[in-house]
Amino acid sequence: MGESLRIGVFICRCGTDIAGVVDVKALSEYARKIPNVAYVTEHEFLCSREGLEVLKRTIRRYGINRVVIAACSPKLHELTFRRAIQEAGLNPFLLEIANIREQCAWPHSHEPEKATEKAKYLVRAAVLKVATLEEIGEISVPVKTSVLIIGGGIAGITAALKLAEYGFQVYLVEKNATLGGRVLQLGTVFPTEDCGVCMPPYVLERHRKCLYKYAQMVMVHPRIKVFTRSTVEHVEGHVGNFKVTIRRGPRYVDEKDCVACGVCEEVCPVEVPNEFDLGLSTRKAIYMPSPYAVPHTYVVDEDHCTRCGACVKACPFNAISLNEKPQDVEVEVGAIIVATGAEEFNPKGMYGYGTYPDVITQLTLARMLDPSGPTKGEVIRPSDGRRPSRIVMIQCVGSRDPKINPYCSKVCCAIALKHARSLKKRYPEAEIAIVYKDIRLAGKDYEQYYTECEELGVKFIKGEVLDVVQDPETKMLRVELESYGERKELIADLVVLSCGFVPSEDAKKLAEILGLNLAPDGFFMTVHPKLAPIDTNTDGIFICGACQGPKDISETVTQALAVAAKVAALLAKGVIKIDLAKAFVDENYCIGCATCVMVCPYDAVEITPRGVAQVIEAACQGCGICAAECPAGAMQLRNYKDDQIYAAIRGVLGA
Amino acid sequence: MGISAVLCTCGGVLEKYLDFDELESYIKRNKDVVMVRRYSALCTQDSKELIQDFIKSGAKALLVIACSKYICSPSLEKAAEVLGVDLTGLVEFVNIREQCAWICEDRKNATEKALLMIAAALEKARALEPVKKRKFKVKEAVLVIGGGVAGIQASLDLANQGFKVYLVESSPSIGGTAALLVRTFPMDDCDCAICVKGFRMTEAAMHPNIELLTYCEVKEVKRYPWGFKVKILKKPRYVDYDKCIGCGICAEKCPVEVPNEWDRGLSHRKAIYLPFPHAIPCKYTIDPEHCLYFTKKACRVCEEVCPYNAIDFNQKPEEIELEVGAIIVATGSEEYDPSALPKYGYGKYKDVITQLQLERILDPSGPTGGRLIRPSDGKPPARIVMVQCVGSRDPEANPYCSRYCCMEAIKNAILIKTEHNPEAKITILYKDIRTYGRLEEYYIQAKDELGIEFVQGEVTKVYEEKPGYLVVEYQDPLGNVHSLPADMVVLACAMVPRKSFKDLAKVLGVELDEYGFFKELDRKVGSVETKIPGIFICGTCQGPKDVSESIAQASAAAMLAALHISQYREKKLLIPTLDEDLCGRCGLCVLSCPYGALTLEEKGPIVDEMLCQGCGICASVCPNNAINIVNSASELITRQIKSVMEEAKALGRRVIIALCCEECAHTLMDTVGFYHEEYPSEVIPIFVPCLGILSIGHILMALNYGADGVLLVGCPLDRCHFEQGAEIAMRRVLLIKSILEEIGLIPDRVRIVNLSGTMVEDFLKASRELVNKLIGR
Repeated sequence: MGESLRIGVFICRCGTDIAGVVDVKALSEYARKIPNVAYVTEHEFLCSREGLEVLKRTIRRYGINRVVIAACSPKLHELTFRRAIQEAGLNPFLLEIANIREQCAWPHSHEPEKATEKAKYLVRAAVLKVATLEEIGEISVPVKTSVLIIGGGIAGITAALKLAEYGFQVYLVEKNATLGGRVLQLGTVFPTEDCGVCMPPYVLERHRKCLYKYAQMVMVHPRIKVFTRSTVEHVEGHVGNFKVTIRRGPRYVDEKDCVACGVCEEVCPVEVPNEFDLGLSTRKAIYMPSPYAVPHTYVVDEDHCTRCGACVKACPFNAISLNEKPQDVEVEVGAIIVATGAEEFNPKGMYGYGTYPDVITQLTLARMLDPSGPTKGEVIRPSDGRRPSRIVMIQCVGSRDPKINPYCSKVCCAIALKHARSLKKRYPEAEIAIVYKDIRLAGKDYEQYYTECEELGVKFIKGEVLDVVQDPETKMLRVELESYGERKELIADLVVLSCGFVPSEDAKKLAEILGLNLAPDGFFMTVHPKLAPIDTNTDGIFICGACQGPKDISETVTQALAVAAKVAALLAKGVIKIDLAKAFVDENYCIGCATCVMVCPYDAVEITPRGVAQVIEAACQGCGICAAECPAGAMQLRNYKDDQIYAAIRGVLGA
Repeated sequence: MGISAVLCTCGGVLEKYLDFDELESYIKRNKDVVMVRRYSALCTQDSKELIQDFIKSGAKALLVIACSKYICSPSLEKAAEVLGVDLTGLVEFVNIREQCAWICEDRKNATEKALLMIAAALEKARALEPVKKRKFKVKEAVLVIGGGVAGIQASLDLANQGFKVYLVESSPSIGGTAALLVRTFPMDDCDCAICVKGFRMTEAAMHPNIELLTYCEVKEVKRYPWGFKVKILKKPRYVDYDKCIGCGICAEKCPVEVPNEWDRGLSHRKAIYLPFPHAIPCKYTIDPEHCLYFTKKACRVCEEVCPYNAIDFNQKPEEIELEVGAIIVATGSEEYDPSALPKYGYGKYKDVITQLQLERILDPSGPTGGRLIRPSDGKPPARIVMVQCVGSRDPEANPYCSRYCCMEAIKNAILIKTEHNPEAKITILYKDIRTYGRLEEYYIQAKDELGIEFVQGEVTKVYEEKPGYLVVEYQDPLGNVHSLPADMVVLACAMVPRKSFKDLAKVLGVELDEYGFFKELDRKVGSVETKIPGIFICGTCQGPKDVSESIAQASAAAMLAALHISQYREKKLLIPTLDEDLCGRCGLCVLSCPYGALTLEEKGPIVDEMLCQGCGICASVCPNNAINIVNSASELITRQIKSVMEEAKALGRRVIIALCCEECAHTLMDTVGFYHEEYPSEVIPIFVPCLGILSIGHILMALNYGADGVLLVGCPLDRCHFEQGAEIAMRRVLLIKSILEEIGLIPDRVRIVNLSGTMVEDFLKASRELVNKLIGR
């Protein structure tokens, strides 16, 4: 660059946030004296539209070719300022931000003088560093217009349909034998009290359809490929270009040939508890996972099948093959959506669960209340099959409990009240009590449950349950609790535990495969809970639904749509632009030791056949670990090269 | 011409239950059947062959006698597509597996029942006509109403996908309520609301695909198949938008001071003003209600001092016309005015404020410069009592919970404790603390680490002991009354719909819910859609929610809007046809349509093809039988019933005609079969799109032709897939019962059950009872 340096320093007063502590006038005086500074100005709010206009005007008018902005954290407005200086004709990377708010004015508000001194150093460091910066370009990387969705529950189905409709190829991977997820088991769901299999599709078909018809739409959609009983085994690549290995577990029944006639089931000699009904019913070793299973074909449970071959012989279509093996399928996608849902907390050992058969969870109760469930909607005591008359529900089991899970599971209050209402309507004479900490029915949809339950005579007791014990003589359950400092006891013949959400078992393994972080509570972690609730730490991988934290159906669907929007925006153009503020290799120095390959957390460096390192720009996140570890000094991070960092240090030291 | 009939034996399995030879010979007796063939796996291997055979036969309609149509139709559709045949409207299904073979007493009964079902289907197949499909594309532009956090997010999402967005905001600046909050939860990093929001506000303002229309209002919306023609009223700012640079000299000199609504009355602004320092656009606006020139024809100081000659007192309202393919409503909500509930003392005591006012006080760019002081005397309050659920969960005000207020109170309490006054004694009076999900951690922090006190109770009154000494009197859950002294009382007020919603809803043609928020299509999975295709809602205008929920909803709305405008769409035109000669122009059909799809013109009713969903309610109300749904004509239903009854007579069978809707009832009939639950074979189903299509005549005719009874099976009343159909049918059944009683027949011969797709037991009970009573089995 032949022209001489003309650095512009723009200082933001940020109302009183900066100017109330830092002496901005003195700071600008100081900045004027730093070498190569051609112009210094102050503004009330530099990030405002007006401020940005001033910035652009000044750059043009005074021929500024490097910019220092002394304002708030670059986390907030770096992008805004980069865009503005680009509009003024500069390369967007010829910018350095001195954070004199979060890192100066705010923490040192009680020492304004020292804060002003520190601000001077920060500005000086920025000026010295900006003088060494280089223009950085960007490259266009073609992306695959296909998407992998992991999880075929309501979130995955929603995202899949919308993205396919948009024109993307979708691979939907579900570990179970049927699509539909947890919602299929719920019987009726709040707030509309629809049957759990009833879901409306969108836009043109304005009337509601059942989830199984809806899931059927997924099966027949020309742009959706469904893998049931399958898992994601391996992922490599980066945003726009992921290579995914899907392990397709055997169904032992050919989806294309099975007509669901059920002959196999009739002849199968093995009978096992049906997990779909949480053991309230039985099924055979060859079975239909649910009446609303999609794909609507049979599947063999290899753990219980005795390989007797009766079904193979009986099948009129020769659709069964007990020798089927798992198969690995490779697909290439531009983005990945994780929608693996959550599980019900297992309260084993708490409140007599596992010891007394009449202590059950809300999900078991949901199966009983399902009119097409194992009891056809009748609620029974598992111990003797009789109808319970005194039911106690215990809230926050496994939630809001510092020893287990500190978070609130959000939906259990609504579930309990929904069930209590159904029970009261079905068995008006039954006594129902709910022991709770707070009744959390947030929003406009749910409060009616509370008032209605109260009207129906459901008792609400604020308190904490200490234990549930069985009276050895009467076989009744005694719920011991403390309410407003008083010990109380409730007699029950059925106790229902409102168990919270816990992350699904395979979340950990999946996180490892995808390189995602889990939050301390075990759910997938988002980048920013408020502004980016569906983004992850890896570009191109998104999360939605209950795998990210407890959620109800409405929120899950909303999030799935939001994710679809994100992915659509990312892949719609067929290319993504990547700026080159990334690591790069000076091949003259590289000795091919592969230290960089080993330390890179993003698998963004590889060794070329010529024996030198090469950075995959689309994968590099610009952390610079490789540069720090490179023994030969061959690896550098653009705009954080050694001399550039030294310049900043000299600036801080005032040297 | 003619009908091609195909049977599927399900791999031979069904032959055990049904005599296929007899079914075939029955079908062959019908002269217009040109082909009968038996297959063994229509749903898988045979579908392609079937379509080829159908083409060869030259038949007009296809009758598929097999299992549930939801299982076998997808592969047929696929095969038809591959072979290039359009079968839309030309296929009729008879489910002889779930609805017959698997639920009948024995082979003879099953075969006879199948025969009767086929008789009805043959009648229908004869009348089938191809259903037209309409392919169309809507205008690739979106109107977003409301420039708050939701509106901005939706605009950005769409603009980033390359769509043109018009962002309309009624106030002079975008930003909405969230721009007034000091911080927003969860507070993981620097999250003063304006920083985070300001970023997006600027981004929206700078985006080349977004056209910002501030100080504008939507006046008129006309619907067309391609989208909406929108009239927008641009209110005069009396300041030239292009000339004003936002220097603020005008406001400095303006002599008029009025309470600043953006600071909730805690400060003053001038008659020429910028709403708040970060306002976008940074352009001043004159408030004509207070400006001396407009009230008294005096002053004009601003005009004199403006260095850019930007003041223009002659500005007039302007009208802007836009054409868009979709509309997103994101108009936000308001804070409830607690002066309506005198017990809280709001409006009476200066130091009783709302949480939003507290936000302004804590905001460094707010009226106090971020110093925590109380309004009455400017002293810092040491004892603060926060009262929850003011105007929420209160039958006297709003029955619903406002969802965000627990968290807002806890957030502000934490802020006061950590950044303003660690010694402050803060008490939060609550009903239930609803920090749902992960927000629980803030509750724990507030309660256990910061010593903020949480007390369960309900306020009975707030009063002043002596000036500056407030007392909050409350009742605990055990009924005891206590008093809390306070320097300042902060009310967590409900989130309520804006007053302007009614007018806007009318302009848009959408509905409001029982509380006055915009009504969603479905609270569970359609929370961002409205009744009208192409109009979406997001943010707090749909119901109370926090910032992150608003943002998620906005993205969801943007996704659906993008899909709506970017795709070529196809709609099956299962719509009514009109016989102009019969039509008496009475307009009953127009009134009855749940979708507002009909308008009465000179020639008779005109159908909006895009709005009509084909429920047939219009046909059922027409006194002249002039209006009929394609492939579900009123007369056809009668003929189907007649055909079943004639065959039954020939077989010597007694019959209960089960008129079932194609939605819940169809699913239900399939579910019952899946479980092999037996019910009397006298029950013969005939399917109609919605029970609302059935007139009283249909039911009486069934009895007249000799049916022992009529059972109507439809969706639960509040969940009819066509909104009102189930209820209309219910009312008609009541009427028929009274007619039957009047003429001396047993009213119980007609029965309606409203069941969802899983309610197996209820259906079994109803059908068994009916047969027991009327036929005696």
